[in-house]
Amino acid sequence: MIDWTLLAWPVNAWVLVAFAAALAIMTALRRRVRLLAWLGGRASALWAIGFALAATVALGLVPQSRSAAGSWWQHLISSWPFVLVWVWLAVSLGLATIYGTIARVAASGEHGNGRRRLRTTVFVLNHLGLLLALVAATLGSADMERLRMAVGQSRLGAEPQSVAWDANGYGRELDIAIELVDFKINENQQADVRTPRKFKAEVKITALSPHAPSISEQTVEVNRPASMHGWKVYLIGYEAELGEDTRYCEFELVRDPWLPWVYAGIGMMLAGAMGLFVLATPKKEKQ
Amino acid sequence: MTWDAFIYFAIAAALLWVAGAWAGWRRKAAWAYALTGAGIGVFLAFIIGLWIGLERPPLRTMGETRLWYSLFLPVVGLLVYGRWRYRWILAFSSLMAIVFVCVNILRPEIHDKAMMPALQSPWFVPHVVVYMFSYALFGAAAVASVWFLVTKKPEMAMADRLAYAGLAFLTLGMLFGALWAKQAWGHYWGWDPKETWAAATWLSYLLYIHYRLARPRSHKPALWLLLLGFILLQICWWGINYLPSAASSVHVYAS
Repeated sequence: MIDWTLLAWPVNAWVLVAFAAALAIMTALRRRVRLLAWLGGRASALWAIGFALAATVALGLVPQSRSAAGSWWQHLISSWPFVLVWVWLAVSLGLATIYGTIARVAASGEHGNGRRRLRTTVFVLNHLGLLLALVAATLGSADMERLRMAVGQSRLGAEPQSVAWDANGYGRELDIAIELVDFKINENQQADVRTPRKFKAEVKITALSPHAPSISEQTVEVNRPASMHGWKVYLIGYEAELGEDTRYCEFELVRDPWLPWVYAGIGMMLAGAMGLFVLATPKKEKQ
Repeated sequence: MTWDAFIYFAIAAALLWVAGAWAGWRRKAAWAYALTGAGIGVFLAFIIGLWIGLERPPLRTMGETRLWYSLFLPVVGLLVYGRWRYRWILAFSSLMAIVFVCVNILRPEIHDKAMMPALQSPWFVPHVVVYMFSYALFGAAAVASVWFLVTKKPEMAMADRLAYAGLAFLTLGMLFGALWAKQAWGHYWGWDPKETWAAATWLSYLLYIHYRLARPRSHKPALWLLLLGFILLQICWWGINYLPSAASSVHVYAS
């Protein structure tokens, strides 16, 4: 089984450099080594996607364990077969992106037209976008932090909180402190059932860094996290039986330094998907 | 408007769709457009009425998402008919839409009015509507591939276009979901059972597209891949409710 924490910064940065270097070397040698040409071709893509599909279906069928305990098949994501399929997919996708872009740009230089240029653009957006999102998400997962923090209501006398807890129960002193200024519930009255419709916490977040101290007042709701110094702060709970008089709110704090790269990949894929639709719609003069 | 009015709108829309399909079969294109379009209009009117009546978009329960599927199937059928003039396509798309209408009449999963906080997001409508449109395209692709396998006269240009358009919308739906999940749950991908099966569905259509490029003259396996994709899509949409591995899904809202 793979221990993903081993990939934590700066190891993941070195893995990324090694991956990029490997792709460059394979591209340089692709005319000499037949395997390298094959790896970036359609046959390899078929096998890699096929195995990834089989692996994903297995993941959907076999109940997975949420705790660290259990056999390898209860942690399929971290098992060696999955990682090998993933590596094949990433290498195949990386080489296909490079080979395909080189071939298409060369071809459009000779006899380029609008439709062909659109095809090249859509190819690059879809393949490079997916590559970027996949690689950044996987390598970045080791640097992602998800912590929990319970903050007492300051109107009930609680102090701002700057210690958060990870999934293993270890506490950490953060570079921000959160004060819970107020907590409100908008209830939706319906017959005799009262279901909370919206709840929101007014928080004051203080950056504790001596270099750039700053204070920001924000509202946190479900679907609307607050942000400060790379942290996103999510409201996840309160004492339901006490309602607005809850003594504390529970927050989840998430930091994901690789997120901008994943978003860049997702943005490219969004544009690529629209391009795919344009290419799928019939062209009149071809009739 | 409430679900009580559904049966009247459903019968009117179904009759118009059947008449439109008949006109399509008899090669009366203008009537096919007008009648099918009118059926779509009647059905859309109910959805808008329900939206206003519920004070939220009708996208939350299985019954509500089936409404959109029933709406988009004739839309896709009409688009394909407009482009290729297959006389059978409207009959199939209308039949499938009516099957889903009947499911909604026989098994209406109607739930309380209030929407849980996790669903109150601007991402909600685009996420589900885009998915339903891609499901309708893939439904048409599945019907077409059965037809091609039976008649042994495949028109792969049509299968390809439906698959490409379907995959475009499936990708948009998945990525909208990822962006929304970051806002709601703190992470864009969590291997939740629904996400896992969505990934499997996405990969199967990706496999179809690459298979078509790698083996352009091998039609039969490609058509079977379209059917495989459609089966995975059904598992993702409602089948996971019956899978033990999906018991803890955060995507199950209707229980």
